Amino acid sequence: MKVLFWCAFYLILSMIMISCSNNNLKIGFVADLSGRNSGIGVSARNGITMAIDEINVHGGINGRELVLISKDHRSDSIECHKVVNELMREDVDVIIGPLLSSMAPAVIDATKGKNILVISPTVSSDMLSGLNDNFFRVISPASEQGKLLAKVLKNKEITIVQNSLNTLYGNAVSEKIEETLPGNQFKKVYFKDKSEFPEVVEMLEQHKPESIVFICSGIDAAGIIQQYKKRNAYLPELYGSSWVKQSDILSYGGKTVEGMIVVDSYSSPVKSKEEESFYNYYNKRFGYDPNLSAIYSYESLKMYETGAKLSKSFQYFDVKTALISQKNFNGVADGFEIDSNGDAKRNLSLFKITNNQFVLFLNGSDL
Amino acid sequence: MYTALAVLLPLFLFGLISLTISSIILRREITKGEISQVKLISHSLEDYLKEPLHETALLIGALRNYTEEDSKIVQRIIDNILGSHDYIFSVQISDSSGKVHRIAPFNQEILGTDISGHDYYKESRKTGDIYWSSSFFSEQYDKPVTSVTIPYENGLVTLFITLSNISRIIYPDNHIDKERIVVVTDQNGVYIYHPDKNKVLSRENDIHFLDNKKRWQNSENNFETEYLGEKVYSYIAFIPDINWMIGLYKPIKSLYKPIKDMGLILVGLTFFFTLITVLFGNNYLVKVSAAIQTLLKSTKDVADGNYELFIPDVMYKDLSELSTAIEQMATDIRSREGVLKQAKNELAKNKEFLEIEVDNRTRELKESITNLKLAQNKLVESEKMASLGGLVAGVAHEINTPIGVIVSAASYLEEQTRNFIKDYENNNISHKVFKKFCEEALKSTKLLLSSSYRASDLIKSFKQVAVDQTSEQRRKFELKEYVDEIVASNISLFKGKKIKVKVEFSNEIVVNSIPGALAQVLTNLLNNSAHHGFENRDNGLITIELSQKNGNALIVYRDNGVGMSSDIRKKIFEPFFTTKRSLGGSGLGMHIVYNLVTQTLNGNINCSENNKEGVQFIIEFPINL
Repeated sequence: MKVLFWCAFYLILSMIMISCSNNNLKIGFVADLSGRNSGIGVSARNGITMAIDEINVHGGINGRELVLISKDHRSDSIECHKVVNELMREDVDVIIGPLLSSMAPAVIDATKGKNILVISPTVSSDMLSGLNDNFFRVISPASEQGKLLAKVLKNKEITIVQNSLNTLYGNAVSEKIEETLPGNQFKKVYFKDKSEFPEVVEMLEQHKPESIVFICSGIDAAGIIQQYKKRNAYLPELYGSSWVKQSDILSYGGKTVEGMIVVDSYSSPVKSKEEESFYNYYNKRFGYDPNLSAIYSYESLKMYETGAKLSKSFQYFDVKTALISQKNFNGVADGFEIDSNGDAKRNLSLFKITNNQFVLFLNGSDL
Repeated sequence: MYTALAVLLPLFLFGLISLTISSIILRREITKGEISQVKLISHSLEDYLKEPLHETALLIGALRNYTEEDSKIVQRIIDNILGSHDYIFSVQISDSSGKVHRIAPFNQEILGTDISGHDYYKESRKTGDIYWSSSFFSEQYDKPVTSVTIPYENGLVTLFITLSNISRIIYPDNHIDKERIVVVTDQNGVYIYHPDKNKVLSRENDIHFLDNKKRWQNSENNFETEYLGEKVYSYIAFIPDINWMIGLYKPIKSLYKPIKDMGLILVGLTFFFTLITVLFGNNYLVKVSAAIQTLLKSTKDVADGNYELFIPDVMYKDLSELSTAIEQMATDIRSREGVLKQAKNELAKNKEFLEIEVDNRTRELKESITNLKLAQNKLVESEKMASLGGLVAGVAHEINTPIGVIVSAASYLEEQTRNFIKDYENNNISHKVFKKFCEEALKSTKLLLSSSYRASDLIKSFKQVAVDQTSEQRRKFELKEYVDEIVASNISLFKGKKIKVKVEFSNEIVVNSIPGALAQVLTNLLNNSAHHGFENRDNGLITIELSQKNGNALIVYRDNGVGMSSDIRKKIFEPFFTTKRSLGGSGLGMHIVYNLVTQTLNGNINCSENNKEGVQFIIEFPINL
């Protein structure tokens, strides 16, 4: 009897010790971290790192300390599917990512039926909206961007330059523009990578558009604009989706992108105290200012924190239910709302590049 | 068991102390080594990165005065930079507006583009200084790179540096030490080098960057921290200007590995040698113990007086020597015991002889003492007689004067009487002659009578004192009267000197004692005053105070002579003590005085100073003996 008691005692003790040793809350993160689109990936990781630092300083979530497990899909769907599976094998509690809509199907497919919550900071494809699944977002659907861009593109001859590898997102934006402006003349130019820039430039020269709308990364948009500018003294009016804004358009575009109008979530020209504090900490920690990719990633994890704390659980259904019940969330610059499918709705604005900075041009909510 | 413990415990303690000290030293050395390593990497990287700046300065020199003709020179310098430094993959020259006007290797896409949006343009233009950029994704190279931009009056020269060659500097021999993680981060904490290349490609931040920077600013270059979930010891260094940080993270477990290895080796060796020692030592101890027991028994036999020893051969040299020594000891003891016995016998004989000798000597000594006592008594008697003789001489001298007067007066009377008879027979007697004769006769008879009385008195006093001194009979006498007689009997001692003897008394004291003894005492004291106290003095005073106290007669004898030292005073009553031995002193006078007072008169006598002048004797004896 005594022997049995001691055996049970040691067994329980071992279990407690094992459970204690694995007490960390694993945050999975998947993005392009080393490829051409790694700009937003690195920023997003920084945003998540900052959220983790902040949460851990306050004792973690429900007493569990957070650890980040990052995976790089290098903008490759197959690689993305693989690394998401790796994350699940490593028993992550939540996945933050992807950042590109083109990678979203791979993530959704890999996590389907696995009872794991996926929160994407920047994926906005309309194709993924309205589904009661495990895929949550903190950004409005891409079509909303098209809708807002259309407001400033009325009666213009438009050429849309779009990355063909991210059509889920790109089409959602471009189709909405076309849908909103049925009377406008549209031309579309697609490219896969920078090797096709000369052809894109050539086509643009042939079209001689009044305005160009870029639905691609900022680095690609800048590359095309730089090449176009070299051959043409004057540039057409330049417009861009949020992807452009979030991926180094200012650095790679320089003066050539001055006056370009891009769409993104609302950000007040005068920063609140909390926003200022966020910017200061981010700058001190990473050496430069955060972009919206970093902010949305930060907000994604903070949203998960809210759900886990409200439900006092880490179980997928508990957290999902708590998030949907909560509905409204505070953001760094502006709050947002999610619906019963986990799709976010937030104010969008237009920003104009002035002196190599984004300056609020038009607040979407004013329209 | 205890033997093993006695061996093991000190070994264990010694091992523990050695291990602790070694650990501290080793740890210190490891720290020194790692810091040196980090510094070496830091310096190597600095040299590596800054080396092209010299050639870039040449390039800028050429660009300042650039003409079309200089194009070839500029190109040659650029080619040289690229050729000499394989980690520089591109050299870009832009004008002050940010437009690229030369790039090597030639790149049509980049030439003519605007780079004014890049941080390296903005910062170098803003500060006018060389700017080392943070890691960024190269649109041209499709990989993370870094750059150094050197501004000059007309634009910028930017050198793009690949990060893939950095490992060559950190591990020149291409041997990556898995037990040490060396990382290099840029000014924003982004990895420039990490053993996990993905961290560099994904431009990951070192989570310790800010903390390390703070520590470095606080002059702390080594400390414990946690890295990638493991406890590590961290060594850091910064490259000045470039602001890159070199971090060396060494897992604590690997840090202590050499210490542990050394400890294990030490413990293993200690255990091995201890085991060998215990095994061989035990066997040795059993044999040695048996041999010692045998030797112990032999020593007991020797102690019991059995000198016929049989000690078996012992194989150990020391014990064998001990065995031989015990045997030799037994032989020596037996030999010495014989000598001792002989000596004991002789001692017994000597003892008997000595006892006889002592008895003889004791008897002889007793006889000597008896003889000495007799001699002393004789001497005392002689002294007494001598004293009496002196007294007699003095008295005789005193009597001589009245006797002389008597003789002279009688002779004169006789002559006067003859003359008168003759005158009578011749009828030649006139009234005047008769009257004169009668007056002369009367005068002479008066003188005869007074002198006779004087002589008679003297004799009477002397007779009493002399009788008393010789008889030692007890009788009643009046003290003052008797002391006067003694003084009178001795007055001749002071003849020719003005020395007064005053006898003072308060009332009449009748004493029933032995006056002869008292006479001898005072005679001696007076004699000493005369011969010692006033030896070279003509004036002096002797006072004899008489009183009674508690049934005792008290005589205080004082003189104001030369007195005596305290040393003499202490010895004054000792027999044969004299300061006048050469002048014939016997040294028995005061001894006799002491004996007479203490034994005959049954009193006591003390000698003390007389107010720092002369001597004072206090004599006390019973009034009724």
